Amino acid sequence: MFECVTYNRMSFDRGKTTITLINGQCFVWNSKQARFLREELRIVGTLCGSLPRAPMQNTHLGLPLQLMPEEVTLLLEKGLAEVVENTEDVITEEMKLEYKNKEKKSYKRQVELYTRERQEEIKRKLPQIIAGKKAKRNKVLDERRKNGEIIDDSEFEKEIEMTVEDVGIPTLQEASMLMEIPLACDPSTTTPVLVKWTYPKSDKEVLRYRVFRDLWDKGHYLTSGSKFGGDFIAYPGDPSRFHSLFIVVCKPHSASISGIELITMGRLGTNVKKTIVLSSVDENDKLCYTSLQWTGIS
Amino acid sequence: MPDGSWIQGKQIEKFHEEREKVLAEPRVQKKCDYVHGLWTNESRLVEIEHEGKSFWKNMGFTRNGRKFLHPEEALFLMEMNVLQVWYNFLPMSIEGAYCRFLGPTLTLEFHQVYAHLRRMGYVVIRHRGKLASRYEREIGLDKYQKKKERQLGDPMTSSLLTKKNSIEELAQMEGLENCVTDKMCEHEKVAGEEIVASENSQIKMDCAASIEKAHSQETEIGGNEEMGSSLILQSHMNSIKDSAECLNDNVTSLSPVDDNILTTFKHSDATNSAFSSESRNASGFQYKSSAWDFRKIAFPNFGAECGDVIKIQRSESNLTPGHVVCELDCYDFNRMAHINKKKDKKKDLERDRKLKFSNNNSRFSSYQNSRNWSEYKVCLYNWRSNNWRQDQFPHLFADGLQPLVRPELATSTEAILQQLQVIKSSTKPPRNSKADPPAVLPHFDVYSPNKKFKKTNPGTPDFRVIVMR
Repeated sequence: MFECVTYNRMSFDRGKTTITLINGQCFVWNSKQARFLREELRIVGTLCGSLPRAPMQNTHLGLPLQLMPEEVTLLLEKGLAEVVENTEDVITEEMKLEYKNKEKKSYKRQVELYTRERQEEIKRKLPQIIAGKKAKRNKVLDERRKNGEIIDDSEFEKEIEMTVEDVGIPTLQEASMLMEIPLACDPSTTTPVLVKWTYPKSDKEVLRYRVFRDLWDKGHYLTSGSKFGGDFIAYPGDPSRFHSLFIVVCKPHSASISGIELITMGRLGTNVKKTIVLSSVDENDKLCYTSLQWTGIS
Repeated sequence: MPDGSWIQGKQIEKFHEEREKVLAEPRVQKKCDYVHGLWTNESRLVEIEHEGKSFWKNMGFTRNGRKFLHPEEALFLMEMNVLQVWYNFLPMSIEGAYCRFLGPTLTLEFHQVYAHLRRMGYVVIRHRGKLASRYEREIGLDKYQKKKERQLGDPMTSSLLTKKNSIEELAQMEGLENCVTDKMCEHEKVAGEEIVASENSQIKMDCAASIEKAHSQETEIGGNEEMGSSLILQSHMNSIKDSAECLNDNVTSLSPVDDNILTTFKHSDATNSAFSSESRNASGFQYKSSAWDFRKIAFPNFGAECGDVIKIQRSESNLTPGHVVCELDCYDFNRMAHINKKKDKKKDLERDRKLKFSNNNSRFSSYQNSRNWSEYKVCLYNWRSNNWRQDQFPHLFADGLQPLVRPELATSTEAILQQLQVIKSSTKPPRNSKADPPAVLPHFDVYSPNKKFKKTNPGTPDFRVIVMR
């Protein structure tokens, strides 16, 4: 049922995935890289920013993608990513000038595009514009005729000659210029510095990573288990399409589990229709899994 | 469920394509529609000059006339495509904002909780350490607090933002002194205007000293987030008490020592014209410098402890105004009747007439001797322990059938009731604003969205949120 996805569809021309370390947490700021991680490498992560097109809701979040420390360690081990920290360069007058020039260029470009777009629109609507002007003129002539003037009928039929250039286009004000809040850091003003990644350190973390790595190697998609009270949630396929089957709970091999704990876990798993998988590393340094299924409750 | 079929693969691929497109969408806005914000590393706040269309009602705060946003608010507004933050004359990207805003004070969890609640529509404000209790709100103490805060500067802001406004301080000092002079005019009926002025000058200096003390006390206390409202009130009361005390000191010091009087009199020439004009209105005297010889005038010492009755001797020099003639040689004034007299309401008088307590002379003597309530209570306690003893009522305790309560234990109503109770009741420890603050403070105060929300007076929050990992 599970296949190990081979890295064949997307090439590695974009190089390693950049993971930014901010205040102890790891983030990915590029949507292409985020897709690659999930589609090819089965690394899911959690989106934790707001979505630009629908910012005031919590169901669909946007970049940055936050990665679990286990995911980062896995990527580093496989040589598929690098962890960097953004250091600020000293801002020189040059950089400020450069930015101003960029802004000016962008403004010019926007003015160009704007005028071009308006011209095309006018071209498309030119017959309508002419018709409108004609109607207006005829209305005025009608008024004059009503006032007693004698106007020839041919005046009404006269065509209006108009070209696209005749229609005025308002100038794009600099204040109305479009600006962007960029998502990722400007590479010209920040230098990424490689950071030494030291996860996992404690026994608990080591165990967690061993379990994560093993399950990942077996082909599962793993995400953080805080939604269901475990360490990881294991999906058979992409989380967008499939429900998870396992709640992975990591326990040291020699740890004792009280009856109440068993009942808690059993109850939880049964109510959400998932299997609790107790994972540990035994004396022979082998991973062993115990699945809990409680048949008492229908 | 995953069956490795081609169509499933296609669906997943389509999903990922769309996801990539949606995630890569830029945040674009007209330049004039962006709110311009400036980030400073020292204050760790974003300053804005012009507030936006909608968010200022629920977010941000004002300090010294400048508008600021907390970093989590600024980050949220950046993600909403409303605010553009500049640092070092360059605009900040969202990643840059994450790098700079997140730190030990603002963890990722803190920001995520804030953003989550804000996206749902709630109004989320950082928890302010002081909370007005219901009683404090009833007596309007929280509004008074806010006024004082605005005058002195919020103790919770960083030192960079507080600006001690000396003009406001001076006004405060003047305010306190004015009330002191009012008190003075009430007390001293036989007083020259120079005396008032001179005493004012001394009091002014003492007042200044006490107010300085009070201010420094406040700023000291203000460093602590848990400043209770009662503390502020107490410090102000102390300052008023201090000024009242030095008032009394001045009055006592005037009669014996002559040199002092002269020096204080000389000081009066240099006093603030405002005070002299005020006292002129109050007493109606003209400013005469050489009319009286103060060495010969003995002023009554109202502040001394000469008992209930103040005796005033008629003096040789005629100090009374106009055609008022002093008939008696010695005038007796009942202190209670003349000083700090409340306007007697008719219904109060009637009520007092009805409530005639029994004339327990021994208790009245302790009442007369004590200066304040705590002393009186001590007197009562002593009296009771002397007079309410079991051996004084032998007839009651002789038989088998004895009273439930022994006289020694009748210290208070509660004690008596305690003796009579079969079921022990538990008492909750009284809520004391001066008590130790709770071990875990909430991080956010959350309010349900409503149109009437006011930042300056948000009211009690609907929820309080603690962010934990």
